[in-house]
Amino acid sequence: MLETEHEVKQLLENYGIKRPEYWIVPQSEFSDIQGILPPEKRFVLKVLDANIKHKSEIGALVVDVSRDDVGRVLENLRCRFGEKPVLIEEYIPHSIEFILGAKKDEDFEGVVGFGGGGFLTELYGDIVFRKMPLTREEIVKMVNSTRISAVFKGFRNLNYDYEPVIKAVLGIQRIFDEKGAVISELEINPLIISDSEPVALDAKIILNK
Amino acid sequence: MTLNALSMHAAPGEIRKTLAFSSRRNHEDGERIWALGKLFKPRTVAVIGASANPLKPGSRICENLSSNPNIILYPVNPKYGSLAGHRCYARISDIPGKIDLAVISVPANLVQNAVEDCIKSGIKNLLIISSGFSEVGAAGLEMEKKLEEVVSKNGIRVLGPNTLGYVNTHEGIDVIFLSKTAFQRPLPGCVSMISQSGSLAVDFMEELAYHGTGLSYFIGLGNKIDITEVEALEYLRTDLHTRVVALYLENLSRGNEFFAACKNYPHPIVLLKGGRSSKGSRAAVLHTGRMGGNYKILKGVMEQLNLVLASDEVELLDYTRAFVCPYPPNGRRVVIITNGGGNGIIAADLIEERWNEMMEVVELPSSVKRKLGSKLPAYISPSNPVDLTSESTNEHYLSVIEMLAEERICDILLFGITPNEHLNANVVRGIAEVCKKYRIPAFGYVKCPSLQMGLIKKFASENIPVYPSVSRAVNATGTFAKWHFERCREHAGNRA
Repeated sequence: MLETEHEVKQLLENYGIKRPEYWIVPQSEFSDIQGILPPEKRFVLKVLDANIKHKSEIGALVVDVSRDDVGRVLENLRCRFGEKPVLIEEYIPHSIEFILGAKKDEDFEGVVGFGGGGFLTELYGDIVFRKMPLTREEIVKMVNSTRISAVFKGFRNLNYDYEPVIKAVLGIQRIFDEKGAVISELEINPLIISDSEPVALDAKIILNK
Repeated sequence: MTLNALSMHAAPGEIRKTLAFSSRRNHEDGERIWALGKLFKPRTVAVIGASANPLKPGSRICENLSSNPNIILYPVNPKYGSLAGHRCYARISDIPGKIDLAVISVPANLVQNAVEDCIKSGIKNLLIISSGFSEVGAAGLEMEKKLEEVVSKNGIRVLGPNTLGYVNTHEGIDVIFLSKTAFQRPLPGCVSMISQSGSLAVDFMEELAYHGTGLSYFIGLGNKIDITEVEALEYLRTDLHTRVVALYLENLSRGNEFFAACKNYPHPIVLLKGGRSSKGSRAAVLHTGRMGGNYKILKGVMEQLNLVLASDEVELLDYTRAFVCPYPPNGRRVVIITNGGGNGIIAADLIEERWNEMMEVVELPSSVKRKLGSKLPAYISPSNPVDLTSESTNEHYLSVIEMLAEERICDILLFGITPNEHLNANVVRGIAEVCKKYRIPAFGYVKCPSLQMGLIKKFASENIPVYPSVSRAVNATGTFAKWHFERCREHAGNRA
């Protein structure tokens, strides 16, 4: 059973992994939403339905929308997906996406994985695993074992700080430590770094059967 | 930071004292592992299923055990009055005196009774050679489960079933169901092997013998109903001879305990994991399928533990042999000395392409180049790789290595030998003496088949691993450097 993205992100936020500023729009309030949204920002709209797995592929996810266009996109989503609530998030421009996940492994119990997110995960399989729990030093070592770690070391003048990643991994570890009895897998993809904080743009959880 | 800050091989006894049975494992576990000494160093051995028929495994086991005068052998088989000069007993209960180890080599359907007889006779350690259990399907699995039950209920220790056996080379205890003419055993040495496959282990051991590399223990795990890789690794911590463990596994018995056993293991462990692909496809992955299969997880966790992963049986052999070298590197500077320019260039290329983080083909300072020039004929260019050319002599090799060692410019030595009119086998002794004096880890390649046999063995007797190709030599050297580098970093981290 899957929790909705909104609930997963709430959980992550309690453990130090931020989410973009968001608004949840029930069907009845579609017409009022434009007035609430800040005019200077751009937005991401997602249909909240735990059963939709690849939202962007079927058009249940629309990115980089201006405030003036939000009403039109909402209308469109209602036509295609019916009376489901929609999650509106602030669109955060970013260049580097990471994946961070954890799962119960049959051999090693709780393992955590980190690597290049978004299409990099699919294209290069750039992800490394470790058995939890990890110390801060071990987290840095794990990060450095990935190809994407170049962005922490000056690749294309990018000098990402390890600290937000350490914070996110420690958060995931704490979630598994405290709620491991009910969670079987958790995945944040993409995870980005924004204002020196780890931010989950998308996240999924699979609970124990 | 120099790698020698942590001299892993300097005083093995001391390190063992501190690392064996770390505090998280309690006293009881220590006792349990210690007790395996009776199984692996028995003085009295009963062989149930002993036979006069040389085609039966029981006959070869008796033959292999008989060659050790320190072992008192009791063959058990109601068909015979005596076997190979020993009195043969009809039943295990007929044997007078205490039995350290009973070897069971009877058909699978008779094993359960044999085990129960042993338990009644107060025998605590069993080696079950017999096959026909979980590896053959449902009926075998059922028999194995019954066996497992009686074993755990009575708290006895069992190696197997379905195992090749084990060898304790230093004490001349050979409990393997293949004769010494079927495959050659290695000499006593510092490599130990734990294997879930018998055939892979036979090939490995004969390869060791062929390369002149010595063996301490071979432990065949078989179907692991009691002793698993966890106990075997813990037991080998207590062995004073072991300096590297080669491990072949198809499945992990208890992942968490395996993790704990490998963590801060005093020696390098080289792991070859079988069944990666099928396991990968069976593995449960996230619904997105993006996180990857189980081998990827195992790989990451092994990296976390600083285990050396071999991807095939050749790497298992090459990397294991590399760790016979007793000196940790002092840093990442490699000097390549060769008498074939092309080979040296390929070696330098491979080091930079594959092992850039661990090794650097060091640029020689001009003062060193001058000294080098003064020691060598004018036609030799004094740069790294040092190409001694086809006119090279023993003396060239020795004087160059000694000079570089004195200048402290060489953390790791990689040398290659191609036959010519001047070189002879004395070069081995010479290189070994210099490397020993300055504690320089040295690795070599000898590509010419006619030279390989003699030289590889000779170098092995000096603890210098030599490989039949440049590429294999470079990879083994890099793996060796990486393990020491990580180990050093780990310890530096723990101290901080």
